[in-house]
Amino acid sequence: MSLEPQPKQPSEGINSEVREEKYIPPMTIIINVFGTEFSLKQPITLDLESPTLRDVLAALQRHHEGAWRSILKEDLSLQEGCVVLVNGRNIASLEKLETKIRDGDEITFTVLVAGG
Amino acid sequence: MKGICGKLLEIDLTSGKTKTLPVKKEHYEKYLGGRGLGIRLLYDMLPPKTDPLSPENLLFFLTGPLTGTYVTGSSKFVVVTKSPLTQGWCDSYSSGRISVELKKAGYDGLVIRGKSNQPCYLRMDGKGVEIRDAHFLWGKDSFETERMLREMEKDPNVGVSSIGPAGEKLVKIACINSDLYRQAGRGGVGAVMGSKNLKAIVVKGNKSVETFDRQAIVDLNRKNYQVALKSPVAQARMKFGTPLTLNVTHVGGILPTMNFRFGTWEKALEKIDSVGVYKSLKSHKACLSCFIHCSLVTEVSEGKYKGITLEGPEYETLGMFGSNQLIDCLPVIMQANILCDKLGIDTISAGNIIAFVMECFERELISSSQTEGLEIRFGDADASLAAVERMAMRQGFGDVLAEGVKSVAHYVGNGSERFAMHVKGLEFPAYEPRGAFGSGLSYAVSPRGACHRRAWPPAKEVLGGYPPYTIEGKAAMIKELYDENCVLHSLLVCDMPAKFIPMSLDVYSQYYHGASGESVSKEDFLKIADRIETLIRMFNNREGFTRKDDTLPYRTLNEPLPDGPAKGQSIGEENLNKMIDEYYALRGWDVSGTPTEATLRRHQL
Repeated sequence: MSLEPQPKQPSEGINSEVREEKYIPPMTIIINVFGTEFSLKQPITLDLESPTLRDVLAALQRHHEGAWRSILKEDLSLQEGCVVLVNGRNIASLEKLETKIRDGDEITFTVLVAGG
Repeated sequence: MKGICGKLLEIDLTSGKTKTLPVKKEHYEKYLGGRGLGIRLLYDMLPPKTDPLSPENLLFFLTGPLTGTYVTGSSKFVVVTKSPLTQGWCDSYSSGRISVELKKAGYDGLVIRGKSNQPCYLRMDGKGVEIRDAHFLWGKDSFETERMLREMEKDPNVGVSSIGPAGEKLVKIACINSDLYRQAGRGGVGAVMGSKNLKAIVVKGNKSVETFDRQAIVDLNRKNYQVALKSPVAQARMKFGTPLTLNVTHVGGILPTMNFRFGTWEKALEKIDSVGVYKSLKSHKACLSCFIHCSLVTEVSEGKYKGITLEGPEYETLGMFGSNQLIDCLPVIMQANILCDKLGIDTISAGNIIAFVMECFERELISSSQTEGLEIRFGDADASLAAVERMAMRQGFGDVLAEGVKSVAHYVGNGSERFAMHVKGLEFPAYEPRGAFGSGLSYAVSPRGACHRRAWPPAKEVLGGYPPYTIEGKAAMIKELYDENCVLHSLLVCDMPAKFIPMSLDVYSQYYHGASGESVSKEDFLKIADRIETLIRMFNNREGFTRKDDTLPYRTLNEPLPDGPAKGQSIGEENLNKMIDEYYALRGWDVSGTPTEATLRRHQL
């Protein structure tokens, strides 16, 4: 058997066509971290298509560095006393980790501040 | 029962006579202390419909059963009186060395009645109390007053509370200052003190506070300190203080902006938020009897206000003098903070009133011919500072401002009451209720007016899992938050460590046992809180308040919020009414807000 790359064989059938890899445009989300570590409006570009918050958190853990590591644990759970907001809403009042994230969304990792 | 003295010192400034007022053990059992004891005594002792600025009004300085016992966050006291701003119940809280010194002098608090025929101050120690001439202090700001009294005492540990010129001039948002930067700020308690010609109170105790099991308290402190060391919430609080709240309220869309017209302000970021304040940080500080150093000592390092130093500014001041007035210069806010503290007015109410006038100017409902040439417009820092001074000194138009935002709206007329942001006459603090409907309910039913200390709904509606723009479950949520804080304010501890260490009411049950020897469960604490809130309701009802007073400004009810996560939201009258109905029912009050016979029996009232 030849080890040389084989030319792609045309598919059989009348409706077959050569598929091209679909291009996924990168999306940018904005990250805030309000805790002992603090960062404001850090833009992060992600190559994800219609991701959930779970997908985004996993991508952050795998590919990016940031102050959120002080709040987000390896298993995507949070340090005690900390929450995640998507566009200012606690995900507990949205779809939790299944909350859909869109281009331009603001994700905030914060401790439970109390009072003023 | 340990942890208490079992008596107050009653001082009649008209006659100059003092006497000991024994407090029944039953009162401590049914009302704990602080807020609870305050309502029991005010209800029993103050004749109905008393003019708040008359000699007949009573001014209580009260501690709680944990004061002076080393429980963390326990150097607090509450001033209880009938408010000249709302004409109703007023409880105004402050940290201060005076709380501990009162207990060490052998009293759970003071009750002051009458009116001195000349400026006076009280000096109290373990031997007794003297009413002393205060002509040399009259007219002095509260910082200078405290400095002079401390120098005379030659003792840094003496407790001193005082009023500034605003209190002397009966400004209805006047506060009482302690330890320079701590204020019993809300409801005009400083004006009541001024109405009695009482400039200051100096207390030096010489006894120790007896506790049931001191070692148990020390052990609990050690244990909870270890919890705090591991708590990211406590650590963040100790690093950034309350300014971190501004970042959260901005993100959550509840940062009051332009007199509560908007809910976010991008220009605040990195200027007057936690980042901005942190850049001015000199050191951290804790209150007496607290292991959490959450106070930030800051200093202006350059520019026109170079050299200003203070403890703060806290979130409320940043919100009410910053975003709410469109002022993004931190040194200006620090200057406003210092001016308010020295002259003796509440930064929340002052900031709210000035923002209201700014909107009146913007809408051309008022002109400089009505304000002695002072044009107060959004973003104008100099005008804001000038307004503070005139308000505190009742100079010119300041005499109108000194009456509170409700009165200013009446003066301006032309529909301006629609955006006068108050409940029962007490100005809104720095949370926009359209982005968290429970805050709206909390403001509306609060017996002292729009208040952020009875409950802190953003914990549930922005940071917690409660959907913010709905009414379902909000009445129960607010009752729960009210009752928890009522317990803490009756034990009289700072409610902050409870939230950010955190420490549950079960922990406070253990502390209470260590201090008093009494076993009171969390459930029993909450029953006591329900009783206290019902008695406060009865007090306000007796003063003529009705359900109609449990409402919100037109803007909050009817104008959709134009920006942020809560864009398009307004609470609506129907929604508010439903929440109020549910809240009353949970308390055992009828639809008019009157406690039912069954409720009175349940609470043994």
